[in-house]
Amino acid sequence: MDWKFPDVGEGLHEAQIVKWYLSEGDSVERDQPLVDVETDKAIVTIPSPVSGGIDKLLFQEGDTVKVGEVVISFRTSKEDTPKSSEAPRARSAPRAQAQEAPPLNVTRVAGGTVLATPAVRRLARERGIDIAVVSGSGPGGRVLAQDLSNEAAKPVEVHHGLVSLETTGSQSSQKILDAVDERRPLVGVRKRIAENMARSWAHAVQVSVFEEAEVEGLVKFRRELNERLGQEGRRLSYLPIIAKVAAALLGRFPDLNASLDEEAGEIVVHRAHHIGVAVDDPGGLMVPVVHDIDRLTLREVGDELTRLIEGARSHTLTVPDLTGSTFTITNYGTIGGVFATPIINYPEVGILGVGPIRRRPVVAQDDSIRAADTMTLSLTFDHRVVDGGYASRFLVSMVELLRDPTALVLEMR
Amino acid sequence: MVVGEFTQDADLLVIGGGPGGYTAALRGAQLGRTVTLVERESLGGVCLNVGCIPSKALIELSHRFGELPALAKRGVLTDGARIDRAAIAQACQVSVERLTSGVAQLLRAADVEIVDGTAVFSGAREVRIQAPHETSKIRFRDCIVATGSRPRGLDGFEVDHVTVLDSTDLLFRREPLNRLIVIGGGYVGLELGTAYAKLGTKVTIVESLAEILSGVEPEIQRTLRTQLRALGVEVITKAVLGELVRTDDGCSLALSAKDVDHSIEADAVAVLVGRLPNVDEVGLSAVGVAVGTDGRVVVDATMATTTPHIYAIGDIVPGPMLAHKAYFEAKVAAEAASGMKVANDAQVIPAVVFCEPEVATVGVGEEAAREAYGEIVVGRFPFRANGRAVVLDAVQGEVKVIADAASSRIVGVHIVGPEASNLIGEAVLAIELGATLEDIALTIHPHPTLSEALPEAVEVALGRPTHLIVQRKASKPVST
Repeated sequence: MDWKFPDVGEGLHEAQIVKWYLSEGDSVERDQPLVDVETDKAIVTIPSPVSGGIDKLLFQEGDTVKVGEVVISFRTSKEDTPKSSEAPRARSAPRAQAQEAPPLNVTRVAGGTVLATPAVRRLARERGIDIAVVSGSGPGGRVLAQDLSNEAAKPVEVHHGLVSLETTGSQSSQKILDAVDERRPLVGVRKRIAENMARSWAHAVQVSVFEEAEVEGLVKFRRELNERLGQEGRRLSYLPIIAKVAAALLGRFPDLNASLDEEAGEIVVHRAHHIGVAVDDPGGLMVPVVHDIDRLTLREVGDELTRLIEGARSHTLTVPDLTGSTFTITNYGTIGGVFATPIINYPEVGILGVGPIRRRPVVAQDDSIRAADTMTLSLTFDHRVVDGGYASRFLVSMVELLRDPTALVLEMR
Repeated sequence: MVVGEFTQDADLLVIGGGPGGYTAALRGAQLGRTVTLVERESLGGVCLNVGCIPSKALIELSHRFGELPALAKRGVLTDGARIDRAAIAQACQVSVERLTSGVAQLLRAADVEIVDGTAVFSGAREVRIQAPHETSKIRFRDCIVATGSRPRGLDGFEVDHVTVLDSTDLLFRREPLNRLIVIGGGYVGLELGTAYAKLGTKVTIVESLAEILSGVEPEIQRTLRTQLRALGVEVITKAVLGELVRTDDGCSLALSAKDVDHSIEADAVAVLVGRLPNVDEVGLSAVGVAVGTDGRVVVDATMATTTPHIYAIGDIVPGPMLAHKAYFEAKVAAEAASGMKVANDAQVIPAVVFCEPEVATVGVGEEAAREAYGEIVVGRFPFRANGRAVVLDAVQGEVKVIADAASSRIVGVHIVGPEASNLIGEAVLAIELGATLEDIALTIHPHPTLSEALPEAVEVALGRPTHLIVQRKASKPVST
């Protein structure tokens, strides 16, 4: 039978094959994991719909498959009909034992295993060496720890002689290269990020400006907010406050809440304020969106951000949660890095980078130096749409509001 | 969200405090993780509380008592020796408590937070904890599921702890038992049946298959049969169970075996017919964790399930339900979850049975070896030719070693005899290291010990034993 790619939900029409669990000729049990596919948001493991043998896999890992396309053709066995769970109950009793594999007689010794001690096998794994391709120098071809070191030493020559490798490309050196460098297909979320970054870099003319804000007042303001919220068992991070302030300023600097329609040759100024927030995840960067942030209270923005960030990390967000932003904020300071030059979330015009709050020396007007809480900020903008003065004025306004929470509350929308 | 429900975060969450669970927690802590462990009953799981540990205490005491008549024959007279069941039950309990409190101490020292309750998955990164008086939630970064297994029941033989007993009843029983029927001739049935026989109970073991301890080498089954007969244990194989009727002085079990109907009178029946994995109640399928047709959780070589950040180990994943397998898998899972490049590539998992005499096996049997390797060599050495075994008056049994003829690599070792459980360790190491027959033969073993039996069996396989007379075959070249 031919198996067509099913609709995996969420209105998506295609997905990328990340990993086949089986190959052609393998036999498969119903519900055994068959293939991992990756959509924009998540990796989904699809179990086998039938028991039988795999005749043909029509897509390779890395290929994109559309809903309705034939992906696999199965050879199903006749005894595939689901077994009735209500099999006639014989009175033969400790039958439980008869059905169960005996507890003894357990082994995984197989003819094809590599001759090496457990410690050497682990060492190979740690060094990323496929022990099966290492030729052992010990008795009977045993792979020794020294053989792994020799194997690891080989790629140095390979790197120096990359040209000759390409021209000669002998099979044995290719093997060494494979054994040393891990190669994995660029698929799924990673591929999407790569494409987006390359498009942004290729189109937008990106310039970054930096500022430093004294935020003693903001720190105190947030502490007071959290004392209040603490009674409800909640906490607010700086991000909701900064997002609200940014939205307020975008009302005064509308060209930063815009995009360039290259085909039409028009600058599109967006009426709505949808703020994208970059979320770091092991699976790859995600940018969920707080929609219409100017219609939400600070408390609501906090709740929405909590939902989006958790959703991004557990890969449970829906398409609307991940699309439609008009301006983006990246809070790189939570991990580290005093300054960064964020890349524009294309086709937007601006992206605000928020650095860490740290105690730093501040020079007062009377030239005295004192320690104060300061925050670094960076704004990357598309120089095709706005100029440096416009962007700097936005950033300076931001610094002023963050320094003075009273003014901030007045401007917040 | 339920009102009043409290959510906490866990870096590494371990579900189950048995051998797999507590080992995973300890290894996670060693690797710098902040570990939370959820246990619904007692730390130590089945193994420490109602399995390996108390059963070995009972078996050991019954073994010592059973040796007394033989000792008397050799001049150690212990007239009037008798059994105090209450004191034995107490001794079993003491060994349990010492070990479980040891586990609790280890976990405390590793700063593992222990949460009492039953965990059920409520999201891909979240479990709900049901405790007697409250529920809460734990959000985790990584989770290792080690929920173990429970005894399998038998229709028509529902455990009532009076006439129909489970293994726990047998372990902690304070009253003597005159006649006991053991249903199930697997390792638990043999272990407890043998222990009870040594304590003076008339034991009948009933098994539906053709042989007891199905799956082990036929030599082992033969030795066990002989020993069981000597202990007065009756073994009925190919049995088809009939009805169990309660009588005034116990019960009567009807059964037919080899077309002959029997009726066996006894004080009680013990149902020891294997174990079932605790998978369904954990709610794994709700978060996309694939479960195989065998009812076990599907995992890869790193013990990862089909759902990211969720690992599974021990009795709920494929393979024999043995604590030492869980220990090993626990370390692999904790290391993989912590970003180490590891995999479970253990070549063999040994199995031991504490019956009379002990059984221990590792690797493939003769038949399976012939299928896998074609030509094999086999060496067998009986304990009656081992000096120490003779001194111990424990000469029943033998060591059998199987090697691939082409490479001389050892692929299976099967021991039935004294201290088999302690002797098998060397064989496991030999197979894991890829040792050949020559490697063992060229290793000096201490004399006089039972450990000499393995190199002797190896020398038999190599055709040059020291302590056995080899019948020269006519086909062999005669030396000039």
